[in-house]
Amino acid sequence: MKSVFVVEDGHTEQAMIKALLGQAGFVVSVASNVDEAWNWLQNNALPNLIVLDIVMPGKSGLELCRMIQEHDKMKDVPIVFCSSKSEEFDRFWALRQGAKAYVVKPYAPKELLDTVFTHIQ
Amino acid sequence: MYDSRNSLSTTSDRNDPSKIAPDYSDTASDELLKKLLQANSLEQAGALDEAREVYEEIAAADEAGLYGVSARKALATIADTPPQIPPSMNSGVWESANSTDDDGGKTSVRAGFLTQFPRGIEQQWNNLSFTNKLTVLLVSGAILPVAIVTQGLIGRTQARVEQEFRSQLQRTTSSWEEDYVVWTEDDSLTEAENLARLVRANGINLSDPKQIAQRQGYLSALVTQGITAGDRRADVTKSFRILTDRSGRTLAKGIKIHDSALNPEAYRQPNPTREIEPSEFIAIETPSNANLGDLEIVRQVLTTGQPLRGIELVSGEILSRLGLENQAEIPILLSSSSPDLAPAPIGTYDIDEGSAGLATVVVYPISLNNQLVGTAIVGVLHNRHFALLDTFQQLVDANSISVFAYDWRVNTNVPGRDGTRALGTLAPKSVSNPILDRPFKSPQTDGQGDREPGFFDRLLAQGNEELTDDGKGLFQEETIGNEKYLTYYRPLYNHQKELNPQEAKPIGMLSVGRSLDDLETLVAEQQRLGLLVGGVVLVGVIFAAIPIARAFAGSLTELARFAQKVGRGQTGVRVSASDRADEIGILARELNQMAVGIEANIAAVKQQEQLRREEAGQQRREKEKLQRGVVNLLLEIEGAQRGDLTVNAPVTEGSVGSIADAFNITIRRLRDLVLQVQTAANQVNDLAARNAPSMQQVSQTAKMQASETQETLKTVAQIGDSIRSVDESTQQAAQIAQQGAKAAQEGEDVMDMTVTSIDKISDAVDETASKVNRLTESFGQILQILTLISSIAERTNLLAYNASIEASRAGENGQGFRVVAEEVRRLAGRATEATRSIEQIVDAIQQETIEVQQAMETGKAEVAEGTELVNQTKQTLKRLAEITQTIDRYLQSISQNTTTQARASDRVNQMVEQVSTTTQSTSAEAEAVATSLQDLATLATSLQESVSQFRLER
Repeated sequence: MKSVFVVEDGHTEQAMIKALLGQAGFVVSVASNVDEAWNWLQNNALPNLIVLDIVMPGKSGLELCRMIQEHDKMKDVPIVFCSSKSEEFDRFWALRQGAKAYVVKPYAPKELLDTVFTHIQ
Repeated sequence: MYDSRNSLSTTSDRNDPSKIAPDYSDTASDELLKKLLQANSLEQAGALDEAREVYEEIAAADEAGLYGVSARKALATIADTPPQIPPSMNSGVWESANSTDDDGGKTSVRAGFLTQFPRGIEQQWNNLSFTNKLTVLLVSGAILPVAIVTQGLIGRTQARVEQEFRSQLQRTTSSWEEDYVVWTEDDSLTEAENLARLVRANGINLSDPKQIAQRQGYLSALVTQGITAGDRRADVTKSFRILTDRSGRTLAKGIKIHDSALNPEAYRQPNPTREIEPSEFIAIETPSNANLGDLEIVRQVLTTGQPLRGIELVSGEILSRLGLENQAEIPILLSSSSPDLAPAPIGTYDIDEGSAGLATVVVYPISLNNQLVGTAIVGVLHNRHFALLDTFQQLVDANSISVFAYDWRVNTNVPGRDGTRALGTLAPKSVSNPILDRPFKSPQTDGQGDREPGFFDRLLAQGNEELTDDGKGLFQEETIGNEKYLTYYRPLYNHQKELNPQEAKPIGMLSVGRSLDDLETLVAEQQRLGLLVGGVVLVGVIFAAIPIARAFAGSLTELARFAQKVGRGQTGVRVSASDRADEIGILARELNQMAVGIEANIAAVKQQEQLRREEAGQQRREKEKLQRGVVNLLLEIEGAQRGDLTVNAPVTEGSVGSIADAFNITIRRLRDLVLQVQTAANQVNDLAARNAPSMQQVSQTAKMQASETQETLKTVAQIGDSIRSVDESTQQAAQIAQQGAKAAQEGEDVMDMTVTSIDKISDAVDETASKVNRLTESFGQILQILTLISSIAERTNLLAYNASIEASRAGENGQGFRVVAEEVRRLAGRATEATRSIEQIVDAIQQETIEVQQAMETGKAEVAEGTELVNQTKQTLKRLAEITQTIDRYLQSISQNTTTQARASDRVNQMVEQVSTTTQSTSAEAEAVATSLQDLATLATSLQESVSQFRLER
C-alpha cells in the first residue's frame, strides 16, 4: 500500500484531501506546517509521494521542498504542490524548486487524484 | 521543534489507516465531504451524470465553501455541451447587417447623383425635418397651380375689367348721346312745336308782312322769352329761336350766347355742379330778315312741310347771319402725338376752315289753314357751349366728353395741352375714317347695333384693343392733351337720317373717353385682388399642408422616436402602427422585429459588459493586491540593502509569494556564504594572531643564529689564527727541535695547548652544528605554518570568489560586498604568493643549511682528525722529544698538516661566512614572513569588519 504525506495547514482542506486520497487507497499522513513535516520525515519511513501546500504559517512549502531536495535520502520522493497561488509564474517557480506537479486550488477531486496517480512511485 | 499536537492526526492515521473520514465534528461539513467522496467515486467510475447531480447538490448546498467550489470545479471539468445562442437571433442579426449593407450601397449611389447639387443646399434639405420637407413639397406643389390659376384669373379678370371698362364706356356714350343729342333735339322740337302752335293759335300768318309788322312785338317776345314752363333748362340752353316766313326769311330771332363761349377762361376747368343761369346768356342782336332758306334742313321743311330734326353742320356764313360766328369759330389745332393717331388731312371734311358750327336744329313748319306760312327754328349751337356740356356731363356722370363736327372737336371738357379745353383738335384718322363713312342704318339695325356686346364680341374685342368697332361706334386709345384715354366714338347724323336713313352720312361724332390711368388703376386693383386671393389660397394651402405633412410625418416621427428609444436602449417599446398595410406599416413591423433582435443583442451585450466589468474589477483588485504584495515584499526585504541578511519575506498567497521565496533563498544562500567568509576571516585572524609570537621567535632565533654565526666565524678565524700559530710554532718547534731537544718539552706543552684549542674548536663546531640543527627545526616549523597559511589563503581565495559571485547575483545590494570579497581574494592571493616565496627561501636556506651541516660534519671530522693528529703529534713529539732526530722529518709532516689545517680552517671560515650570509638572509625573510603575516592579520580584520556589516543572526 502506497503512502502519501500531506502538508496542509487548512483544517477542512486537510480533511478533504485526506478523505479523497484515503478513498483512493493511499495511506495518508498529514502535517500542518513545515517544521512538523520535516520532523515527521526525519523520523518516519519515507512516503511514496508528498503533497505540499505553499502558503503556511512559518516556513513555506517551497522551503520544505528545497529542504527535501537537498536531503540525500528524501530527494527522490516526488513532490506535488497543491496551492491556491494560481499564477503561471507560481507554478513555474514551484516546479523549479524540484516538484513534479502543481495543482491549483480549488481543484476537482479527480484532478488531484489523477496527478497523484501519475507521479506516485 | 516537533509539535505533538499537530502530529496527532498523523500518528492516528498511521495507527489506523482505515480511518479516512474527517476528524472534525461539524456534521454538515461531514455530510458534504461524504457527498464529495461519493461524487468522486461516481466520476471515477464513469457515471458522469450521477456524479454531476451529486456535485450540483454540493455546489448548491455549499455555495461559497471549499466543497462547493471544488464541486463547481469538478462540474466544469466534466465534459458538458456548452449552451448555444438561439440561431434565430444570429440569423436576424445577419439579415439586418446585410440589409444595412444594401442600403449603404444605394445611399452612396444616391450621394453620387446628389453631388450635382450644391452641397450646402443638399445639406440644408437633408437637415430639414420630414414635416418641413413634406410641407415644402406640398406648398411648392400647390404654389405652381395656385400661381397659374391666380395668374389666369388675374388675366381673365383684367380682360373682363377691360371689357367692362369698354362696355361701361359704351353705355356712358349711349346715355350721353341720349341725354345730350336726343334731348337737345327733343327739347328743341318741343319748343319749336310750341312756337308753331302759339303762332298758329294766334293766327299769325308769317308770310303776311302786314300781320308780321303788326305782331312783331309778340313774335319777338315769343322767341326771346321762355315759352314753356317745363324744364328750366329749356329756356336757357337754346342758342337760337327763330321764326321764319315761308321763304325762310327770319321774322323774329332770339339769339343767345352763353358767357362760357365768349369767356372761356372762366370755364377753363369743367365745373359739373354749376347751374346755368339765364343771366349768363348774352342776347345777340342781329338785323332781321336774314335768309335761312339756304340751310338744307330749312329748305327740306319748307319743301315737305314736315318737321325735321338733326345735328346740322351750319356754315360760318349762315352763323354770322345769326350773329353766332363768334361762338362757332374755333381754330383747328394740328397736334398729333404719334403718326398712328394722325388726323385726316385738312380739307377732307368741310368744316368751313374752322368757322362752321355744329348745331342741333329743329325746324317745325307752321301751317295756317293747311298752308305753310313759315317755320319755327329752335336749336343749340354746340361749338364752345361749355355750360351745356358741363351740365350734361353732370347728368351722365361722364368725363372726357367731346363733340365733333366731322373730326373737328368743337366742344369738350377734355383738357388740352395748354390747360384749356382741347378745342379745335382733330380726331385721329383711324377713327374719323370709319365713323364718318358710316351711313345711318334702319332702326332695327340700330337696335342690333346697340345691343349689349355678347361673349363672342368681347372675345373679338379682346383681340383688337387698338380699335374696336361694335357696328356703331369705335374705341380708340389716344392721347389728348397730356393724358392717354380710351375713347369711344359714335357718329352724329343730320336730318337726312329721317329722310333717307340708308344714305345719311354722319356729319360729326361724339366721344366719351376715360383716362387709361383709371383702367390701369382698376386693373391694378383687380391684380391686387387676384394676388390677394391667390395669397389667401396659398396661405390656406400652407395651413392645410402643415397638418397634412404632420399627419404624414407623424407616423415617421413615431417610428423615429421608436428608433430613438430603441437606440437609447429602452426595452419593451413597440410601434403601434404595425397593423397598417402601407409602407409605414411594413416599416413598423420590421422595426418591431428589429427591436426584438436589438433587445436580445442588448441583453447579450449587457451580460458581456457585466462580465467584462466584473473581470475588470477582478483585474483591478488583483492589481491592487499585487501592488500591496509588492509593497509589502519591498518593505520586508528593505533590511537586506542595509546588510540584514536575516530578512525572511513571508511566502503569501499573492503573486509575489514566489518572488519572496526566491528572494528568501537567495538571501539565505548569501547569508551562508557570508557566514563562511566570516568564519574563514576569523580563522585567518586567529591563526595570524596565534602565529605572530612564534614568527617573532623565528625571527629572533634567526637573528640570534646570525649573531652566533658571527661569533662562530670569529672563532673559526681564531682557529685559523691558531693553526697559523701552530704552523709558526711548528716552525719554531722545528727550529727549536733543530736547535735542540730542550724545546721538546715546550713542544709537548704547546701540543697540549693545541689539543685544548682543537677541543675548543670541536666544541664550537659542535655548538654551531647543534644551532644549525635547531635552525633546521625552525625551518620545519616555518614550513608547517606556511603550509597552513597557504591553505587558509587558498580557501579564503575560494570563498571570496564564491562571495563575489553571490554578491553579483544580489545585484546593487551586493556591490559593496563584492568589492570587499574581491579585496579579500586579492589579499589571499598575495598571502599565498608571499607564502610561496617564503617557502622557496626557506627551502634554499634549508638546502644551504644542509650543506653547512655537511660542511660542519666534514669540519668536525677533520677537527677530530686534527685532534687525533695533534695527539699523534704530541705522541710523536713525545717520541721526538725522546728522539729529536726524528723530529725534523716529522716537522715537515706537521708543517704540511698545519698548512692543510689552515686551508681547511679557511674553508671552514668561508663556509661559516656563507652560513652567516644565509642566516642573515633567513633572518630578513623571516622578518618578511612576519610582516606578511601581520598584513594578513590586518586584512583578515578588515574582512571581518566587512562581513560584520551583514546581520546574520536574528
